[in-house]
Amino acid sequence: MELRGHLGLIELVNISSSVKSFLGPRKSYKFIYDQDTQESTLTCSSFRLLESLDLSSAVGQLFNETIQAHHKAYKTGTTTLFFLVGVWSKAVLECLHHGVPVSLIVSVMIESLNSCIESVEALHIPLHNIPATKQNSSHGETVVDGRSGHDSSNENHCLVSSRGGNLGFEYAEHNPNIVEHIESVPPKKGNLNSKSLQMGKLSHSRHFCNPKISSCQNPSRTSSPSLEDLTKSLSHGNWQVMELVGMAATLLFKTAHEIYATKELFQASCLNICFFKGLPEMNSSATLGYVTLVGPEYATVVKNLEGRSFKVLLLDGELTEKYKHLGFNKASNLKSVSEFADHERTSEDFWISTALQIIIQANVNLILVRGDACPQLIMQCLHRNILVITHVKPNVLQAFSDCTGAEPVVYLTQVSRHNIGCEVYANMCSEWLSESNQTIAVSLHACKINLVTVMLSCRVMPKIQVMEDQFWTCTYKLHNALLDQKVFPGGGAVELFCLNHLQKLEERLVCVRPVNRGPQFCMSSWLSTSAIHYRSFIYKCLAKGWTKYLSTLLLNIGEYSSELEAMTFIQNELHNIGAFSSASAYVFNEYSRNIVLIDDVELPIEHKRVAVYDNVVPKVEAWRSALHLVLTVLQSDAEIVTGSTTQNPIITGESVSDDYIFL
Amino acid sequence: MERLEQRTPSLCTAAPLTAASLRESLSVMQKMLSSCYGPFGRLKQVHNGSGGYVATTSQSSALLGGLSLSHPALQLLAASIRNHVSTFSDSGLFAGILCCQLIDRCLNLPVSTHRVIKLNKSLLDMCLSYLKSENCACKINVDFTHSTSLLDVTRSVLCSKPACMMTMKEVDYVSLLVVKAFLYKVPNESHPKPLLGRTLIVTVEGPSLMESAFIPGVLIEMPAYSWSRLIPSSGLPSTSIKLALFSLSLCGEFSDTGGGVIDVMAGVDPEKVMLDQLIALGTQLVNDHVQVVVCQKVIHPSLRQYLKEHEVLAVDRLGATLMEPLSQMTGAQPIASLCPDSACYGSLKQISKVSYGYKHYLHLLPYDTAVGSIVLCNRNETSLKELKRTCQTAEHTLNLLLKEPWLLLGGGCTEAHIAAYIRYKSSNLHGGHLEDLRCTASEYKLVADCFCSSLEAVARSLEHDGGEILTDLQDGHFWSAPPDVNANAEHAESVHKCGCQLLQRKDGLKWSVLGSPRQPFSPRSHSDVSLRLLAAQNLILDGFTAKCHALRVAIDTAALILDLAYVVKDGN
Repeated sequence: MELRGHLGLIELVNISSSVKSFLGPRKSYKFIYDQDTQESTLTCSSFRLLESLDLSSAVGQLFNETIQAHHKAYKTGTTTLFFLVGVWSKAVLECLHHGVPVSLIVSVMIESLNSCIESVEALHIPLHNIPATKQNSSHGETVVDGRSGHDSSNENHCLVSSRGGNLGFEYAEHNPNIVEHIESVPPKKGNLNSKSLQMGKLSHSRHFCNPKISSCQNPSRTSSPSLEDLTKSLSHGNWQVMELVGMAATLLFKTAHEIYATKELFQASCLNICFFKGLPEMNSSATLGYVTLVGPEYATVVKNLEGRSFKVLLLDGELTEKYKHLGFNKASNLKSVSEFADHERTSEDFWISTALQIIIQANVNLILVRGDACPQLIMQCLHRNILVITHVKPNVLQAFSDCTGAEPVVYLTQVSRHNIGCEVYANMCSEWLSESNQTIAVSLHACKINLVTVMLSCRVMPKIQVMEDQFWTCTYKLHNALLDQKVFPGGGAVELFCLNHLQKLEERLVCVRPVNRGPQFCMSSWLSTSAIHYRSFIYKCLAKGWTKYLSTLLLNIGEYSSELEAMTFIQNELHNIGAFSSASAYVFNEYSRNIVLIDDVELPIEHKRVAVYDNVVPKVEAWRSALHLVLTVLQSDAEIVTGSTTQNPIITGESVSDDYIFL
Repeated sequence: MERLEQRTPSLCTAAPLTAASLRESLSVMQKMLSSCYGPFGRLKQVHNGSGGYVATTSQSSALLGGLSLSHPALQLLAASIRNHVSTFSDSGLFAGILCCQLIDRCLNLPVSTHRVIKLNKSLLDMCLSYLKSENCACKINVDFTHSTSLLDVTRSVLCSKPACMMTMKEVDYVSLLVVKAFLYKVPNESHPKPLLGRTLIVTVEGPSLMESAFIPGVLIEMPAYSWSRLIPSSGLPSTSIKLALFSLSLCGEFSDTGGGVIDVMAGVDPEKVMLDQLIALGTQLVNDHVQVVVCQKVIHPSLRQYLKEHEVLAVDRLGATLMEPLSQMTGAQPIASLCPDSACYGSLKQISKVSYGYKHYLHLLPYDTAVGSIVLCNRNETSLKELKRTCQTAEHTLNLLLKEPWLLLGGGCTEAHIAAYIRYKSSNLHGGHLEDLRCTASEYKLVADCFCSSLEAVARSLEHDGGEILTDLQDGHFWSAPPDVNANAEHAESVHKCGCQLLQRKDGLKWSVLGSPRQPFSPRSHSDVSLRLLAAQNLILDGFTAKCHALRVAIDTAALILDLAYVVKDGN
């Protein structure tokens, strides 16, 4: 049970090294190749990568659990978490190497991270009363207290926009039609961007910035960014996808007649995705209501229903004879005794005719089914002008239930006039006919429906998963920002601020001897008194993690060609902050105005004037989770394997000599 | 065709304890337990080696829970610790380490095992009678008019498990919740039925720990989207709510007939028959003015719909764990038939909806029964599970205070202090006492020494980073010092407070390394430190009942194992 060369930490370093290229707005795609199935998938999300990694070891499982928990809660920031686990594991290993006691590493690291998190509260940019539509943005000027630093009229604002990954396939055409208020955008197609072209687009960066404002104080009067600006700021290189999210949000707010973007209205449950394979990406769009793909046999029915309102039935189950609600076990010991030898019809035919009768009596023209439906029944319904849509997601059912007054039922026998919804409209989306004409798109709409379908079209099949992931990431970025009602200045500003804070903590150690700064230890121990000797070293190690994060970020963005250059830049920046009287003022001036700027020829001038923002809570929680995981692994000194093949538990000392002890 | 197999004869091993393998295993066990001990203890990753759940823990119950041990002596040890923990929750590691230490040391003594066992028992009695006496200087009386000592002991328990990953601020916050929950469930004197209430723990993964909360009543988790489908159009019932609690499944399936087969006439749909019965039940419930129906299992969608149309809130899939608390809280008897008696119904004060993280709950508030829920939030499953276990331990420790309202000084001070006391007592023993025990003075001294050093070794296990442990020669408390400190030299610089935070360093105090040979001294008695004990704040405290019992378990188990002469193994 010794701790030299801690195996668990080394494993963490190894696992997380794979995620380096996913950091920042310019992600490189990875092919994940499965040796068993000979299949490969394309990804640039650390969460998907995780699914393909072999994490069967104890440490791997802990790692998986941490990332899953974070992903479940925030859907963004997993790459940060993934990466920081690695760099902080390395930092902790270095501490161990220098003989810092384990308990001390744990408490000093947690304490200093908490201190950093407290200090970055100064960087919060409050978001209140965000105008939901652009028309309102000019009137939406409000006095926001605090030191928020965003000013939409500043000329140095620009957009970080990534034009696809390094695989170099077509990725980022811009569609003029998808956002109604951007008319001036000329469509640009066929831009197969190469890497060199991308790099060439860098024009501004924070050191080329105009120094005229660097001396000004934090503005106390600022305007809230409009929803459009906010989505741009949060897009982190996924502008195309984020634009769809912004459109969806605008539609939702419009339906609710909200002037300001609110967290209650923008929920992931109000969004639905419909994929159109084989269509160019520029066709992607968002529309109110539910759009889904159905077979060509539905076409006539939809045509017939166009232009008039009809009734809807929601089925929260399956439309089959055999279906029983969850928890119901069919009795196996019932034997049917019949007086007559033969039946005229099979039980399924009987069921279908009964079901059809109920449906006809209910006078509905649309049935949304959560599960499967009996194909014969579907055909019979189509003959009678009734649409049956299967595999409808629960949130869609809920949205229709909310606005039509229909109540989802499990069995057809439950149908009564109380649970039928009315005022639903259907129409065919003829522009969405796919080339092969295998399916048609139907749009179902109801008055005040709180549901937006985002139609993602994609020519490159393997990218569908990537696009969907990006869509949800963007959705949750906006959702989290509205939920937290604040954002951080992005582009590494927060990490830089933390580095500066750690430096300050270290300086404070040298100047004044800390006299019992609160109870850091729950117990009187020699560690609390000898912590002074190790403290600054631990601070340095923690800082190394963030420095590595920043330099990797800068390197990935393409601003620097080597890590050394990036490091030099970070050191210079830290020096600058240190020279400035107020660190937060410096960071605001430099980062919420003149962030890492990448010119994008395809976007009109106005699009370039947006700062980069980060989510607050997901970021801070990612730091915390990463450090907690590292420290948990650090504190574990043995694995106990229970009930293994030999029926004996094994204790594995996590020392270099991987020893097994049988009990 | 049957095959007969000859029974193998049982295997008998004589003198199992001399076997090197057992002593090795015991020492591994002891290392494993002591490396987990205390607030700076190391964690263990317990898993089944084939992709199962990994528990990262330093709790004896979780450590020993899945362990399958090969040697009967180890099995015996693990079983007694498990048994102790299941009754007292706390001090499992203490019992385990002490037992291992004692066995190991006693085996090296040149005294007959029988005599060692006997002397150990008499030393144990000496310990326990000292701990229970008025004169005990490492015990404090709990003052229930003040929350200080309750908070202190809760904090100490929560601090002792590092896998919870809590900062001091969070520890304080959770301690407050646990103490609040404890005070809530202790009935008022005026109550006609003075019955201890109950605290349920609800865990939510994801949100920060500071979002944890205590709320009176029971929380029932609601799946997503079920909310609007659940609530009747008139909204939630407001006040004085009548509730029916079903333990029977209302899903409409035909009851199990065992092996028998039932003949059903064609044209008769057994499912429809069952449903008719359910609707009849629904009608009765509506006629009885029941407003809430809670079912442990599943309710048939049609019955659900019927109830909802009649403004009855129907909640199903409650699960077995919540049945008893809900029954206790509402006074409802779980109904196991389709024709309930109206005496079975219970009552509720209020129903509302609450959300924690991304989970939604139905909150049932009782009239006057003390059932409360602690909602614990933490970042990931591992730390959440550890936190839940730790909070249960803290809650149990507080419960035990109602029986025996004493607490022991923690942080190793009690162990060091008792060891000092026993050393002193045993060096000044009357000849008559030795005659009663039928042993020589030197034998007694050897065993007592072994007993005390085992206790001291337990206290020493609190240190995991190579530091030195000192003891003062006035009260015999536990003092932590940097690694290479010399007890005789002036090392006062580095020592500030003792392990339990009661004593502060002062000049003129003499020191010795804990466990090193020294002249026995009499630690100060209760009357000398009572003022200090009364005034002390933020002490590290341990539960009295659990520790005393753990002491007894350790010594009894050690006696049993030392007494092993043969191991008979049935190979069949």
